[in-house]
Amino acid sequence: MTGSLKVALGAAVTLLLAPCGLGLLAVTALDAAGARTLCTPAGPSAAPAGDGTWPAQGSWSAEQVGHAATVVTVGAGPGIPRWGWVVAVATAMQESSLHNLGHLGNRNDHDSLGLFQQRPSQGWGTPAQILDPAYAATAFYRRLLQVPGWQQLPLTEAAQQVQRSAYPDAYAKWQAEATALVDVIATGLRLVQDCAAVPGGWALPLSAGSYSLSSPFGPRWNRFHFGQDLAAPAGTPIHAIAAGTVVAAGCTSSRCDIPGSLDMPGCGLTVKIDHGGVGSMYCHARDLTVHTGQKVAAGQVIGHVGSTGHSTGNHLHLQIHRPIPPFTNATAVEPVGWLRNVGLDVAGAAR
Amino acid sequence: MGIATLTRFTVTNAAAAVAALVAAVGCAGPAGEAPPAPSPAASAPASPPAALSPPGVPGYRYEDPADVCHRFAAALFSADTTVDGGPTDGQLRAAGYADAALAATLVRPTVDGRWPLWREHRARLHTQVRGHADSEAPVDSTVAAYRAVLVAATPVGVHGWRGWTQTTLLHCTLAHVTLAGVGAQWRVAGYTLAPLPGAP
Repeated sequence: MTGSLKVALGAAVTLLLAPCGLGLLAVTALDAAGARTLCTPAGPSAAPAGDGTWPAQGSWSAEQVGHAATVVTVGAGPGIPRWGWVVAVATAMQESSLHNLGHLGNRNDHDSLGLFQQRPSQGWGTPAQILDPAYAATAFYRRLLQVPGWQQLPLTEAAQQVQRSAYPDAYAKWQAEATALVDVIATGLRLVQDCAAVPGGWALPLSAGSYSLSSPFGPRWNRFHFGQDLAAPAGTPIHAIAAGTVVAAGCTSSRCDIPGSLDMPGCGLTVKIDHGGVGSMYCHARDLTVHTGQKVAAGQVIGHVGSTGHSTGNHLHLQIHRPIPPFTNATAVEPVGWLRNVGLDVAGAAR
Repeated sequence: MGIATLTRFTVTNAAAAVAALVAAVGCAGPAGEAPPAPSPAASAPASPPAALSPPGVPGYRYEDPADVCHRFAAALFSADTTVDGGPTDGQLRAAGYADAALAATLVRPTVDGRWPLWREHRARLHTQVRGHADSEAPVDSTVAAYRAVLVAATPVGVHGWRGWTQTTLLHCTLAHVTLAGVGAQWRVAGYTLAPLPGAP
């Protein structure tokens, strides 16, 4: 995308989304390499050619990638979190296969148009507006931001709240593709956000190679799992992911002196650390080495892996909360993706 | 469960049963209508025996919920543009491991924006499925079981073109259903998909 187009999109989106109370400071499009080392994105990337066209990526054509890039850029401008970009791109994958669809004649679904199959008769805009991908994306985000708690909703529910589809669960199958495409585009455009710089930087919660990723953040089996599980042998040291203050350290279950079980509620031996607006929570430890009120450094050992509380095997359940206070389900964010955004590759360090 | 490469299976009987199921539940859209998407619906795990029999895979016994989930995932992530008529075919194959309610949603025609590029390269999905121990899995009962698998699917063209490998966690909810004339079987009653954290 050319610089002028990026600026124009950003300005338009800012005006349209201004009532939503979003500022421009939460996301930074880095044009100077290394401007904020902690937040430099890594991984596969793509960038547009000089004429603004994008190369094909994965199973998506240049045209489709270009439309996804517009959706991402529109979301990044006013500071919508990356999860919103994924929701929007996945929705467009389902609704239009990332094609800016005009009227399809007899095959058209009512008066649906464009990337998101928005309907003029339902107040989405005029046909000409809806067929402008930047406008369509802006309209999508505007309604998404009005959904209470959308950042904690599964993709299907967040998209459905906006789209009112007859087949809401269909959005789920696009989450992996949308995440990959958003990552490639955001890295190529050097779009970063949530650059929560902390003194001393960030550290892995368990040593590299000592753990495997087991249960991820998200919905399954009619529940929602609010953290990432890292399976590791009992006694593996648990490290603070950043410097901060321990705000809670103790047993959160009825007992923590015996192995946990699925019948025992609670997180077992638990530590909560305030890193200054960002919180981390570590569950199911065998023992703790810190106490409430203690200052800790990044990488400091705070306890050891165990299986206390609601647990059937040795693992660390890691939650990231932003913003804090409070440490509640409503402030929990997907930990692996969030930490990757600040430069900590928890998935890459797994065995 | 170890890594296993997808094996194709005969779906003639399953497809016929699916067609009957579609007709019975009225899910078929009018010819030429823009196809709606499938709905991998969440489900109640302990559903009562289905009134309509879902399609089945001849000779398969449906005794092991882990194997049923494994085969369901392999079928759902199967595609061969040199053979299949479209992206719905994989779902039709998966319907052979689903209960009646889920099968009815899987047989709805679907669209897939990747299909044109795959067809251009005469690609098929190379899919690997392996069991995944999810530490949050509920405890099984006599009528419900919970399994997870890790699916890695890569589109590969006949002349060497390769798309991204997508790694997805698929969580199955399985119901023990009694089918008329067949007996009790473990069938997938619902599933959720999530990208593996950090996977490309």
